Amino acid sequence: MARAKSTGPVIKLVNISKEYGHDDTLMLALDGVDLTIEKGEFVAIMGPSGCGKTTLLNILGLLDSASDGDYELSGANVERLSSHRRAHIRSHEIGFVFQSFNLLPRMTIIDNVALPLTYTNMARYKQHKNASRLLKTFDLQEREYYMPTQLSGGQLQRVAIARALVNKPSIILADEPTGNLDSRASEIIMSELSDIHRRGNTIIMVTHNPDLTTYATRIIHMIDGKIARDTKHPEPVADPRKKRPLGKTSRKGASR
Amino acid sequence: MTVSAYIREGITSLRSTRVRTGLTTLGIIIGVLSITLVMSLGEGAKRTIANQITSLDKGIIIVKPGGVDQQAALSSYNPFSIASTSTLTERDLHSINDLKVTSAAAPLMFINGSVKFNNHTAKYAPIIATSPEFADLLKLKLASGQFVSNETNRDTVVLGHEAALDVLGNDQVRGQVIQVKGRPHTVIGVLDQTMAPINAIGVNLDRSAFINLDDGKSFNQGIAQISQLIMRASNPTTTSQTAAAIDGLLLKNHDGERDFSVIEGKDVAENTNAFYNIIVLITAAVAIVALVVGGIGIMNIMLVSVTERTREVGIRKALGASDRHIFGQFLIEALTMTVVGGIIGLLSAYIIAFFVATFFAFQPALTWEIVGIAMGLAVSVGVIFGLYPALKASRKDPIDALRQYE
Repeated sequence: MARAKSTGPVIKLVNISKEYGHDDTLMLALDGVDLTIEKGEFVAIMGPSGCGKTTLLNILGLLDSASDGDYELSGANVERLSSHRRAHIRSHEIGFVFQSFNLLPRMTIIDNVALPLTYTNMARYKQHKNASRLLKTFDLQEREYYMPTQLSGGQLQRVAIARALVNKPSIILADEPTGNLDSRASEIIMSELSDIHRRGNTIIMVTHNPDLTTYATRIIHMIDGKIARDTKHPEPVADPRKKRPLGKTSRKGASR
Repeated sequence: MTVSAYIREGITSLRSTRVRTGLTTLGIIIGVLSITLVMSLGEGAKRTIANQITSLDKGIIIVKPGGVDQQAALSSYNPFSIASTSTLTERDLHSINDLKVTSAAAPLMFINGSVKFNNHTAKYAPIIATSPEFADLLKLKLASGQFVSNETNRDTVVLGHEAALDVLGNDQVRGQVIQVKGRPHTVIGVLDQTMAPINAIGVNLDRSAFINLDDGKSFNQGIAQISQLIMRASNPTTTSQTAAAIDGLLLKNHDGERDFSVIEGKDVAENTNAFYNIIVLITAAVAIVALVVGGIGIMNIMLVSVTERTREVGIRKALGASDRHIFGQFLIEALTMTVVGGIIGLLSAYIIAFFVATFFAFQPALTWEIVGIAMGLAVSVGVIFGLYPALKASRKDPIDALRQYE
């Protein structure tokens, strides 16, 4: 995947539709969605349950394919690729952050972070070096050889974000990243995502929580499989840290 | 993803369910153990017998009564043939000796009778009436005294080592008088132990009592009931031609009736090998059933594992694993169990085989072929029974898989 095509949009969806079921049970999860996302945007997708936002995220993440329409990722059409090729793109271009963290319980924290790299033929020591470096930026270097059960929810989600970043993806897809966290941990996770965004990453986040949209530069409201409203943030938060009740110094305490 | 990475992940995953993995692997261990045990003991027994037979010398030729075909020569040997009239005669013996293409032929006449001393009867002691050449032909060594010879008295006997111990209690028994078929015989010699319970002539020489052919005839109204004729080709390189010449000669003697068979020493060994191969193959086939049952256990547990780890499959796919990666991961996990089980089974089999062998007169065979077959079967079972679960895992839809237990 040529990642150098930074001039164009990183994501371009043209008339994307997704149907489930047949005949009488036919359901349209996405109905002709057109969407262009530029590099460096922080997009929040909102909407009621069943409006198609998770389906959209799955299509963007190449976990699902659209029934109709075209999807260009970094300038290349990826909608008609083989499953093997799609997996290759997932491992190089896309980072996932899930609501339920989705760490593998049998693996240590560092192995979990390095997991996406095992599918890229990178040498094991390099995988660990990269994972370790990322965990350090999340202040988790002392937890490298802990098991996931030994960490709190907030810490687990930070590990999951580190895992999403380890393959230096073009886009980061987050599905309700704070859905399973309390408000303090949510703040920390959001400020981490905001940090990542400010470092130039493209983030697309699905959320129910309108408060979280203050971190985003663009908010998309979906209803019934269609984009109902697409607003660039009138006044993107200059420094999301201002919203944070707890200072950076007390982050460790808060996440515990 | 490298193979070592797959193996490392497989081991991590298997270690997280130790008891289950252990029990599943036990099925493979038992399967490989039984196959290896059967093959190594069978091969060991075959080798020992083959060694004993071939040690007789490849130049040896045996003529037996009855027109058995050569393939069945050994298995059709009937120890009760002494009860029937032999088709071989002294005339055959003399004409073979007159042919001068072999060493002097030794006749073998089995006498139906007991070997006794002071009312103690030797167990399983065949009485063999033969000529002095017999000892040379079978390379028999004497512990003491001499073998039957033309000069010795008719009422003399030579005892096999075990027969001497059985009937007289020790092997220094020259000069003792024992009863052979009710008639007193003086012991003139005792054979060295041959340690060859099975041999080309089908008699346990260690337990036998040997008497002169004339003596034997006197038990049978002066008629020689020759059960076997043993000789050695003068030129060992042309044993087959010599055997053919004898065959032609005897056919003429018997008016064209093929009521005898001429067997070469090497045929005896080959027939025995074929016979043992069949036994080993049949037992190994039964043992393979155990391995197949073990394989079904692997498949069963892998299917459970795939179901339990559906979410893991979803996560891995989301993070960039292709169907092939998932397939490889689960297949190698199954293979890890069978290979580890195979190695443990192989080692345990040899420990048991060497222990068992201490009770028998042979060593278990330790060959690369057996190791190869056992491990090959273990790997095949891993592939065959790991294939379906791995395929099932690799085909899981990542979205459905991620939704599990959510």
